[in-house]
Amino acid sequence: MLLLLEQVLNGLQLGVMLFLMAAGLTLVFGIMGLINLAHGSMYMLGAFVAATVTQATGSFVLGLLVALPATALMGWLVEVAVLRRLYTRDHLDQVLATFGLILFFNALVQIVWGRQPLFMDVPEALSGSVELIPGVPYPAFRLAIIATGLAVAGLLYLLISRTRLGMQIRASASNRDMAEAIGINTPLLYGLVFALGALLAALAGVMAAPILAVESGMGESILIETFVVIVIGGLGSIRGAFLGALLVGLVDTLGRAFLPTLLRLVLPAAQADGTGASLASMGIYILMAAVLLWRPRGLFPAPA
Amino acid sequence: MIGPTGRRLLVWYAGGAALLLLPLLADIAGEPFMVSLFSRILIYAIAAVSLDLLLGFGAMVSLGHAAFFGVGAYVVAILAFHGAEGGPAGSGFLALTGTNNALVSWPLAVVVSAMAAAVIGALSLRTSGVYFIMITLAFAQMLFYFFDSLETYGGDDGLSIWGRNDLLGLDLANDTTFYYVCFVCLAAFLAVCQRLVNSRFGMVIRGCAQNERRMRALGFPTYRYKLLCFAIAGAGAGLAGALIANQTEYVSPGLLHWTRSGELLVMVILGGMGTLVGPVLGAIALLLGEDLLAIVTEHWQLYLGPFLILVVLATRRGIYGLVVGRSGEHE
Amino acid sequence: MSEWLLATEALNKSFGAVVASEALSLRVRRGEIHALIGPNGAGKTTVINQLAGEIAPDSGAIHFEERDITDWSVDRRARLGLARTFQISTLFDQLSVADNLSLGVQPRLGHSYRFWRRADQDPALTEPVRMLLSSLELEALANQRAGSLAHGDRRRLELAMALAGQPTMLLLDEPMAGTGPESSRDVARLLESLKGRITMLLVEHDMDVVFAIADTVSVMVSGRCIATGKPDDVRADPEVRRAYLGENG
Repeated sequence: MLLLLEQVLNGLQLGVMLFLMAAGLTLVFGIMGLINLAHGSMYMLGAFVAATVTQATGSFVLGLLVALPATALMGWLVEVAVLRRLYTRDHLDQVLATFGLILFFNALVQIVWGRQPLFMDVPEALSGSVELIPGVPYPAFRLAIIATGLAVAGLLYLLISRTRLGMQIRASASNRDMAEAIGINTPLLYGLVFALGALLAALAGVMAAPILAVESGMGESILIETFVVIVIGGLGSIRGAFLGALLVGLVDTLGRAFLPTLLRLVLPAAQADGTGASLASMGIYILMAAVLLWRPRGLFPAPA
Repeated sequence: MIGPTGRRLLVWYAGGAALLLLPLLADIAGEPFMVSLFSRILIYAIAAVSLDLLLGFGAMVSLGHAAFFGVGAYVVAILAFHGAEGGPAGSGFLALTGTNNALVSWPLAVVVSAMAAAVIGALSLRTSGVYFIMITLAFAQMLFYFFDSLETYGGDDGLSIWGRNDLLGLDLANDTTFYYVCFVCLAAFLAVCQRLVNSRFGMVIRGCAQNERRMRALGFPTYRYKLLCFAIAGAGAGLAGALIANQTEYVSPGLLHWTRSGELLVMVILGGMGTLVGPVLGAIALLLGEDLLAIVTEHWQLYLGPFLILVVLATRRGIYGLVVGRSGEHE
Repeated sequence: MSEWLLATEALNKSFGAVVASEALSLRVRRGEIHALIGPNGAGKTTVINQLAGEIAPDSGAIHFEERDITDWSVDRRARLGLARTFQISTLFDQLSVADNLSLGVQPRLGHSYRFWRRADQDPALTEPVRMLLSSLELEALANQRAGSLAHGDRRRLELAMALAGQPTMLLLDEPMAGTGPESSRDVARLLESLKGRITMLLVEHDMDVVFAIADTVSVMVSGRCIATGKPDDVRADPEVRRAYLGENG
């Protein structure tokens, strides 16, 4: 029971990070029609900048405060220099160009920071555990991640539904052509949306840095999981991204934690562990397949 | 100046002759490693050509094609493993005794890859556009994690096979012999694809790529044809996989990694989509280019990245289109 | 039911607040040219799309050849003999005119799971294509890329594509759209020559053509069919006159 609670929290933590990634990616797709493989690179850059600044100054907060705008700026630069020319191109061109960006950023990171992974410490203040239920300690940092993620989700919701910018975003996401026709799809809006996406990805990267290794290529695996989230949630939908992210985070974490154990009920131990591990690693993809069979365009597809 | 048709024939025949004579040329140049390098190139060319069927002719942008490449490789490796040190898998009449006989494991690799492609295609082709791209990517990654989790077969470390398969008594350990086997496979596969794209089936696939709405209005159940094309492409990649397992005598999940799929995509586009022979040129260009660039700088990816971006932004005719002088479309 | 080749029963379709089809019951007699006319926005193209199977009606049924095809896919209906033309020519622009028609002919010959023989050297395909090229006067353009044709030629190829499968019934969505008077006359003559062999549902704005060749005319306004009958009867119908002249007048 206690293990279950711990794993559920872990699943939520993963889900929240996936949401931060997915929100930016799905917005960029919904509004600009751009499939952006380099989104993972923003996550990576955020982690690297934060790790460097934190190591140099000893302050996690400073690392965070530098990494976010730095990455957002980089994202905006990439948008202006490269992505802007891709909006009218077909998806194949976008895939190739953003794939080129991945290669570029991975190599760049290796040149600037070397090949060895960086390590980042969990901030002092959050390095302990919190007892949510007496007797059940849970790492404070992970709780902070969950809290931050939920807070950001809330802020995003307010931004999208209550502000003028949000209205423009919603209009563009639901009908891009019309939005262009009435003139709200300015290059400025596109740049802002992209920078916002990069910022969210960087935030995810910064939060992940103390937990995972900060190294070149770290953006790719989370990118694909993000794709799974978006496919499940529906392209262009923040709501879908949120639900999809939580679903994926929970299925992945709980699957890995409990599937081998569950299989031991029916299979001999060694086989159960092996099969369980294999199945668990494929878990979210099986989930995606199941959702697609039921809803080919995701849970909350944008109107056609 | 030679006209487009003449240039096309020049590419096919001159290129073919050059590849045919490669071991001789390598011998003369005193660079025997070229034979093994070009074996690798030819193998990737087969995989790239199979992707061209999907991409260049069917307009199906699959970002997960390397999965079938990897599946084919693993089938050969696993069979070799059980035929040698691994001992039979399972027990009783279901025991898999393994084999090192190419005439068994290579066709099996092709069939299993085709089946994997059929399953993934069946799910992916229910969608289109960006969804399709992401889903093919996701499923390929799923297979990556699957093979990564197979501890018996090395997991993350991969699986070595000791010695190449036995093909009709030929000594595949001899690099030159193996090179010619790859050459024959590529030539045969190209010939098959050439007939395929001009056949009724090929016309249907090309029609679906250009105007699927019209195809349905004419009465074609487009999903079924596209699915078959997807499976055939998977089969081709599986053949390439069987060969790569032999070439490197080693397989690892890295063969299924999506960056591998990206490389195949680049080969097709760089060489010229929808031309069949373009991807061969692309494979040569990319793999040779990587090798050469790596000598110059260890950070060649830094340059390859922007180069790709520029190629995409500037033109999509590819090398073949540049040489032959048209939009690189298949005649 | 057998005198009606195509019949719809109380077809309803709405897009949000817009009612495109309301309790629509069309009856098309075997062998006739049935024209569907009405002001812009009356919902005529939506009817064609529902009949062809691209849009599913909210309620109601469609019967063709005495089968209930309401849930059938687009391609299944086409294989049963229900072909259509598109208002905007929907061709294979990268292929030659002959190859376009070759694809049009293929479904009728059964499945296309043939992988070896060249399609352009297969007499089973090249013969029917040759006949189509000649009957629609497209021979001179046989090897030209469809994408490079003039507008009028594209409309003719569009029609040829629909005819290639030797359909029992043709849904024509404004075949004369954008063609000059002489081409319109040619198309009209062609359609008339097909009368009796192929049943046609014709959506068209050109009233001269409609009243010259149609056997039956149905008038749609705001998603409803307000009148149907012989051309002269419909022309004299006061409600129709009001819809066309009164409201537009």
